[in-house]
Amino acid sequence: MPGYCGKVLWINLSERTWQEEVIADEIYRRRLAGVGLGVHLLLERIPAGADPLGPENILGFVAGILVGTGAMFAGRWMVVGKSPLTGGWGDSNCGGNFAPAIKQCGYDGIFIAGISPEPIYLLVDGQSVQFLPAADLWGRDAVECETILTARHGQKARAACIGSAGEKRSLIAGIVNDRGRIAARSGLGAVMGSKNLKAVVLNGSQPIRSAQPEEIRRLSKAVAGLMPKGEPPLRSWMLPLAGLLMAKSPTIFRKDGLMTLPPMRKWGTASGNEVAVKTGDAPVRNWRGTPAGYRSAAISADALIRTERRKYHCYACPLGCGAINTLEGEYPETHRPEYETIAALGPLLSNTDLDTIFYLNERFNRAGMDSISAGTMLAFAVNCFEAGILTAQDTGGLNLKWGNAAAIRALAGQMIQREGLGDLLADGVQRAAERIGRGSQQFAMHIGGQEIPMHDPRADPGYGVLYAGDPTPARHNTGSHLTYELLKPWSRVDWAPAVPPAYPKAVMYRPGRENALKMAACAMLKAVIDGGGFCTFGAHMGVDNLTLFEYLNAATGWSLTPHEYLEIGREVQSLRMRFNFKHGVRPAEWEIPPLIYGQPPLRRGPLKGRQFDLFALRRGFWQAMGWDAESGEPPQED
Amino acid sequence: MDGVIRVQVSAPFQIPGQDAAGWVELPAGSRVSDLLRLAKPPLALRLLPVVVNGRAAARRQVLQEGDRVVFLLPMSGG
Repeated sequence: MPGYCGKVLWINLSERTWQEEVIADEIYRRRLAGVGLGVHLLLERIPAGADPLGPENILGFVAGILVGTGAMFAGRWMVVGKSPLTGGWGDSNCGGNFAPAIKQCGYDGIFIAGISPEPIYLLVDGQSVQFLPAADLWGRDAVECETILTARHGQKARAACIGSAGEKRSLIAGIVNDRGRIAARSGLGAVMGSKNLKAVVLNGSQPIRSAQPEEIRRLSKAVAGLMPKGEPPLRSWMLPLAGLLMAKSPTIFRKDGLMTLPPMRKWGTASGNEVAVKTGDAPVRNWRGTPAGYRSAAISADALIRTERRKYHCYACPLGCGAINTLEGEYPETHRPEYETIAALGPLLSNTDLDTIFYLNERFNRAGMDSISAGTMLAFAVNCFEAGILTAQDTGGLNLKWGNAAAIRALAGQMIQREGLGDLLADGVQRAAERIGRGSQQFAMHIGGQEIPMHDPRADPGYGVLYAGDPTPARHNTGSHLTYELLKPWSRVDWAPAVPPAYPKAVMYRPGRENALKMAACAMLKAVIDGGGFCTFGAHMGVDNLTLFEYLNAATGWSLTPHEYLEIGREVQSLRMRFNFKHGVRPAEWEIPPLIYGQPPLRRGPLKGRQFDLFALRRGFWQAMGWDAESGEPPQED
Repeated sequence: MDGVIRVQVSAPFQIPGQDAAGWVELPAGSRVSDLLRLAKPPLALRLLPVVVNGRAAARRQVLQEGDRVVFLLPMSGG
């Protein structure tokens, strides 16, 4: 077997029917699996104009080619479909232990259409599909739901569930597995809720084989050998200091993927918290503040591990950047919040109450609500309150001041329950601003309907290019200049520009062929990484250290070159973009908050005066992808 | 070649003679500090913590054939 299963499962909830479809080898060779397979199938099968919350939308659960083969860092699954948040292509990526369960049922993807007349969950084992009542689960949070389902169907069963956000069709809802890992972006939890589908439970036991298992083992041994051992020589106090120096330096010093591993092992993504604040990477006060106004020690790397109970590894991960932390009060524990969550609930809100960040992390996970979007909603509301656009009458008496943790907690609860002002906020910031009006749009930080993640393009304009140019807007893990350095594609692909050990910061902001190629390489690689089912943090080791392409060839038995894999990546990205055009989404028409490209420029702080021509950079990126430079439209496939 | 070792170095600076994959030849018995002496990076980069083969290493650590040396430059992300 070539890593992939060679078939997918189609389920219709309206008709309560299911059928398998064999997928030709040629399709995998052109699209890989994961998002590539998903968009290949759904581009044709979701009709133009389909209501994202209607029966015609199809929700897909897909796994990468390498998942289950023994490849390190290959434990990701993705959910795909038409996004109710953007109206275009939506996908979201998640770890935990759900990905191999898809393939253990014998499928590379499980696609769900129609709407059930009452709440149900699906039990799939590779032999049959059961449509089971979920009346007793509806209203329960995602962790409770998973606990009940694994008790009911066995500890080997794996469940992906929605919480109250998905049930209530909040357009910033995601899908949760492993008690708090969440495929959060694109609002696809609302699609699941619209189908009255509370959970998908997988309980298969089919083996997953690769073409060259010995070679996979050899590669995995080499990757495992690169993992850090013992305590890292870095200390938590060094991190903000490094951030300060980096902020002041006019030079970028090239990063290498192996540098990420020791801090990630010890602190996870929280290792970057204070670096991000000090360099200006983390937006403060809804993108209008500066690091000087935020006490970053509150979210220091060590602060995040103070209550750590145990380490947490996703499937097939030799690094283990996750952790389970103890909580006091309502919930006993939580997955350690990731950088994005911490930044969205900390600096973005000028909130230094770490207990509130931990608490809301757990609440959003249990509700199945995207914490990037939720934090953005809260910051929007505070900004509107400060400007007098919202009053105490609108907020039900909440005093929405920057850093008011109690008010933030209360409003978050309202969003989760869709009560009061929270009901209006639960559908994302674009819709909230449209409904509120009165100039609130200036505080709505979104692109194409999706809330902007916690990396400021004024610090790394590569993020901005891909926030504004990726088929799914406001996506932070497609790439950036930092990502490009870490992935190191020039080690395998001759057209990818090499990065010198040191270069002026100003180079990143210049429109031109070289920067365009870098971002195009990031986007193409992202599609390959997803197609393989790799974790982006694993990929950040570098394509050479991870042996990304070698793994894919060993699993499949193919002999494709890195260049050919990137061409597959290009075509997968083109399909994602074609989906947008088919559904009337024109990315050149996306409104982009001028703040993110420095209009007006910040007057102080590390990003003081930083301005750049985002649209010229985006035109270059689209052109490098082979798309129309002005519209972003890809050519039709040959 | 007798008396010469090859180590693979990841660092935010270039070491003279280092190839594209990061390999550099050094006299046997060279230490981590010798890499800094050869590269002459800016002062702040000389202070970066180091791991050799994934473990924290001191400047005085003697390098062995095939060692993987990584100078840790903190970064944001995630």
